Amino acid sequence: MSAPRLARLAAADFFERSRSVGFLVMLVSGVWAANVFLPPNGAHYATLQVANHRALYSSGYTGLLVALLTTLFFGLAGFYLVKDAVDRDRRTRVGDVLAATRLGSPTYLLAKAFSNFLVLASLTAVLAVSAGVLQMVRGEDMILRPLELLAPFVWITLPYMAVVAAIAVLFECVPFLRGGFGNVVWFALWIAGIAIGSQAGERSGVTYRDAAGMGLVVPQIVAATKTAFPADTVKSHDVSIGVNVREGEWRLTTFAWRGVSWTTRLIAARAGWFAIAALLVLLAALPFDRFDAARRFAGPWRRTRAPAADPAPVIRGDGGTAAGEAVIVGAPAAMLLDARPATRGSGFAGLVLAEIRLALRGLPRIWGLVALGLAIAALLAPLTGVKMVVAPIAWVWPLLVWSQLGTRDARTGTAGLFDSSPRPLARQIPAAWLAGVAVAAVTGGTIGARLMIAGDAAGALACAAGVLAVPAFALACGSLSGTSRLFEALYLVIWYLGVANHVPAVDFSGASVPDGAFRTAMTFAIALVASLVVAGWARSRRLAR
Amino acid sequence: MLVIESVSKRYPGGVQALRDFSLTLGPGVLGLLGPNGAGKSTLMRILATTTRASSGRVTWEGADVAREPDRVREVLGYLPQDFGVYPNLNAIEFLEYLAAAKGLEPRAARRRIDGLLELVNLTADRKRPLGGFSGGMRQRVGIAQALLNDPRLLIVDEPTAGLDPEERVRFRHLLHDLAGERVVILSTHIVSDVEAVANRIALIAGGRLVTEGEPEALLRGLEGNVWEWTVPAAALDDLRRRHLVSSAARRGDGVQVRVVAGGAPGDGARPAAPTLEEVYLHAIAAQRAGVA
Repeated sequence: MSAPRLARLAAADFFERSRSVGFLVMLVSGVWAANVFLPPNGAHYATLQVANHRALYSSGYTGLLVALLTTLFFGLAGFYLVKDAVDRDRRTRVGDVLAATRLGSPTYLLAKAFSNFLVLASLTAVLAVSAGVLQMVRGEDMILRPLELLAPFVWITLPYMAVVAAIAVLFECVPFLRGGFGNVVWFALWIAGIAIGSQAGERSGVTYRDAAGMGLVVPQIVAATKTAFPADTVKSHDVSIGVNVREGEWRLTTFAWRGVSWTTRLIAARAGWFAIAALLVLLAALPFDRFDAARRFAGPWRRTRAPAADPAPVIRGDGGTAAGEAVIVGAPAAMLLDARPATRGSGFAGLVLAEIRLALRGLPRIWGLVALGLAIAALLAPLTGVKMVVAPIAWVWPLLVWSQLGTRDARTGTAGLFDSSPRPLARQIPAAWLAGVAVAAVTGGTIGARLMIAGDAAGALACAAGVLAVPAFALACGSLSGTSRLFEALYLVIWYLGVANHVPAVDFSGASVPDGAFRTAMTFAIALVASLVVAGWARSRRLAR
Repeated sequence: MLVIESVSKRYPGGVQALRDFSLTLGPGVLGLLGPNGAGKSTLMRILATTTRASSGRVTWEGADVAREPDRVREVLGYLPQDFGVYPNLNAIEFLEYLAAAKGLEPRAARRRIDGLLELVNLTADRKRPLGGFSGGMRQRVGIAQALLNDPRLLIVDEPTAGLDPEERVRFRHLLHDLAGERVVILSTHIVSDVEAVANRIALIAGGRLVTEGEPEALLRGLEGNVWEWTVPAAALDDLRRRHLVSSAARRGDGVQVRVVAGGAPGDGARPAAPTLEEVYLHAIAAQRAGVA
């Protein structure tokens, strides 16, 4: 394994990914995010406060704040952004060529992970530069200290991004984590990692349980606040990191602080995550199938198939005849084919049923049994249990069915077949959406029915809005991106905030107070229309090509 | 020398793609012909070390390719079926990427890439993103990548798919010129491709080797079994039901047919010189009849 060869492989892979509109959009979103991460005093939200205090926007603190939030949010999203490096080679069959070379699996996977890291590091660099500019714009401390500004990005964000890049490769190599199930697992891992990491620092200061580095810096932030406000009894749990919205303006008292003191011990602990990332990639080489379908074992969501048969025989236009063309000795085609034209009708119900069958095909039987069990539990369990336990499961259980909506043609290369059929926009978009709605009606819809029976009309309305809007949102995401990852990433965030934590604006489970439920229903009704318009637009754009 | 000994391949799920397949190959072009699902691509993948045989053995110059895959990878050029590209890279960048994967030294690789792009007629388009290439142009990039390391074993699976007639002829000439001391395996459905370049032909069906040999020998084996004459158009359907009709062409006085049969299939039928296509059709039909 030579470093120059690794670099050449990673660089080419990075160029392939970076020369796209999507990559530019990602970088621009980084600039926007940096602006959001650094709110001026008096904004309606705060992003890092200790009780009612925060440090002035010095270079060190600005860098720390933006680096922490980049780690938090772009660490989550970054996984979904980069988890395609190996699969792209599988889809394009470039992997078949690579598998026939002397390129070893560890070298190949390290190159892919490095390319993932370069994508995430580019984004981090954009946020770091934006942070410097924004420090000047906010104008609380006009002295720019580049090293203090950049250190948190280097020692907090980049090691975490290396781990994310490695985990993305690892997940692509483990058959049952390769698809949507892996995307859900990553979301759960991310939440668990942040929760464990943020507590880790209280006990040990430097810990290998804290990949995101939250627990590492929280004690220093608390200590700086205590120094600035000795009369306050400030503790670690007073530190709030995230986007904390409130009705009125946040007026936080500020204090001067130049940021984290980077000791050798801290730096060594953070640098260790690069080594852990490399180990994760080497670990990925064990289950990696080297693009050999026969070495892949079936995961819970996929069935292994033999490679596609050789292509159908063809008759060449230049007189060359394809082998097998005339081999069949039997009845002429005219006798086998019915010459009468097929009866034409709208057949829309049939199309919806076909979409439902396709959406559910390949799922294990246990999936259907659990969905049925959730529907029964929604109708029979105590109402509190339905809201607190059944609803969160019921609204995440069909995730992998919804996330396939709008992506099938891109995955299977059947766009030409469907686009050439009658009224593709007017029939196929509604049919796919209704298939998703049918699934949502079984899991989430029964919760709405239960709320209605219990007299909670607002909750039932919110549920109904969710049943209609979530599949539409999935269809829009799938049609736009051609992959399931966009919906899986965005929906999990909405689900986590709304259904799991009952943030009223996005709680479509009906568990919020009536006022909130009405507002949610309205929000989701708008989202429904917008999603269907976006899905239709994405499809019409494809048709226009 | 490439030796394939009793190779079988069974995929998870029970699909038996190859059964007890044996063949020994020396320098020259082997044309591998077979119908849908015959096992051609599976055999290509086993030889290219991208999948392993369930049983049996493949050796390259004495080395077992399953145990020492790098021995064959070092000298292998492989163009898989349905070859794809990275759409945002240009031809040079993409080939440099694959050259790195093959372990070629960068400067030598660049010189080789320039020559190969010239060879496949892509020099003028070398800096255009591959996403804008036609199917035929992408296939030519695929051919170029297969030749990057100047392979001694060249495996090409359906290489002329997507090429226009002129490009196909050019590629046939290229394969012919390349053969020399190399072992070239050309898997295809197109009999005329094999006819033009192969000095040896293997027919595969149902995962088994049906027959193999030099084209001349295969043609000689079918002599006396191909018949040609003109029949009324109305009689064609009946003829197709009873015999293996290899071609039918309308004439002013009826339909001129060619039939593969052991004896004269009708009044006026006269013996004709067999073609490779008829050798293929006859062998596959016989194999199917044997299986049935």
